Amino acid sequence: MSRIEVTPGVEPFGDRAVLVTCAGMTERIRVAAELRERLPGLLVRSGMRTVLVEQPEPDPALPERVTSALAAAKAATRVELGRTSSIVIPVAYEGQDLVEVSALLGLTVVDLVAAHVAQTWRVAMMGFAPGFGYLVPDGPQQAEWSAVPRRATPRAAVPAGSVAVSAGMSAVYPAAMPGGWHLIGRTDVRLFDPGNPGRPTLLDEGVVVRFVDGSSS
Amino acid sequence: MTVLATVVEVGVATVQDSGRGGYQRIGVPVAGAWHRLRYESACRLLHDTVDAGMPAVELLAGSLQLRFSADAAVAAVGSATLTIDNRPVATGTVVHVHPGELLALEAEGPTYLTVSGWSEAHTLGSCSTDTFSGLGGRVLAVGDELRGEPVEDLADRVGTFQRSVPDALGPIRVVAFRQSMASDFFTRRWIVQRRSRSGIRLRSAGWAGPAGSVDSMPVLPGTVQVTPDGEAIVLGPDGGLTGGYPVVGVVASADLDRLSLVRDDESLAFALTDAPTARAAWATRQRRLLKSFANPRDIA
Repeated sequence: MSRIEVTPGVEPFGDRAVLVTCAGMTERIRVAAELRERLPGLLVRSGMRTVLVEQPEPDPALPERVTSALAAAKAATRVELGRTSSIVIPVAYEGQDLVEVSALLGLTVVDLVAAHVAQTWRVAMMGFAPGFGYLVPDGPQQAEWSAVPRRATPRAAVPAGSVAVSAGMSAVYPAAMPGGWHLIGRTDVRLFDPGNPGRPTLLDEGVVVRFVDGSSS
Repeated sequence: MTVLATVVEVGVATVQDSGRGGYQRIGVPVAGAWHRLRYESACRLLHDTVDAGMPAVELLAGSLQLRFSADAAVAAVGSATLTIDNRPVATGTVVHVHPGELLALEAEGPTYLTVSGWSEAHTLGSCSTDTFSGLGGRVLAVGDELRGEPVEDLADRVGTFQRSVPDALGPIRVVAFRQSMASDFFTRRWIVQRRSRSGIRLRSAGWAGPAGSVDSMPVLPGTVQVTPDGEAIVLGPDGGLTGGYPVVGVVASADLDRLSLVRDDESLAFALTDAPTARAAWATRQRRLLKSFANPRDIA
């Protein structure tokens, strides 16, 4: 059940990284966990179906190390996935695109909020900006989230704490920044704290997220 | 902490070090000096080493004038002219600046300045200025101060110099990714449209770009992406860490510094290489860097 079933493809990605491409996201989550476990000291980052193993400077031994780690992972019978933590984020559902998104989903605003709250989300990958997590539905879909595209024209500045949906995913903007997702709400929860080097980010790969209706302030 | 120097005039300048490594997994760009060899040279000239968090001013354009209020040894490395109280001084050499003197740099391209005793606050282990997310470091402005503890004994470092280590010439080498777009991309000339520490945007006459996007994937500085509207983007040190555009390849580490040198409207060519060849080019760069320094007191 928790074995790596298919040998992922390993390709050079420049001279200081290799890219591992998996069959799907479930496989990718396992591969990323295995590589982090087996290659301490190397930077392992996830895409939707890809894992990048990176070093600060070129090292001829890198491709062989990754290939060996994957072979050892495939031979192992069990994958120890880290404990999954769960986070609740209170949201004031008053985003600028709330009406537009509900129309795209064929729902009333009340039903959209209910669906977003009822949905269990999981951080598929981090990226884009410090503390920004790409949340994908975990378990039964509460709405046809993939019916909401990216905005045709991105906003130059999305306010910090904006809760957004786009392309089947949801996200919270940790800081004010340009953004192309549709905004449905806002939270006061702090997602990124550079003053806390031990745990600067609230979200991390694999974390389960639930939203609740009601601002924390 | 005392004030070592105060900014009197400044162009495009930030505080940088060797980068905010270790937090890319949670979306924090690595940032750090764009022309790594010049930054490392300025550090090695003054400190004999490059340690994490060692600050330097990165002057990308314009001038930098610092009024010193303490004795300091300084090293400037880059394409710039340097004067102290209007007297021309060589770059690539450690010089002594006295209290009251005005150091002036006029940069034609990326130039790095290290100052003995200078220390900066760290954010996530680094004083680098990430111009994309606004994290850490600082964008220097008139009136800003460089603070620290003045170094008493400067005599040992002053006079240390570096033989110039020129950047490679010719096309910028790129390790192709899957080679699917390689034949078309590498035969073209690319014109610089816009550039910043986040990345360089390029266009090529008649290039339409590929259709569609790919699953969001991790990317790193030097990644060459192509957009549906016909642009190519080469990511810089402050560039985003995930991308959804098709990837042509990744610039060889040995040529990353050269991306900091490009100018608006410049015409660039790229050459296809492979990872082993690119790694060999990096090893050569490191050897040349380490052999480039000399302290006159070591020369009998």
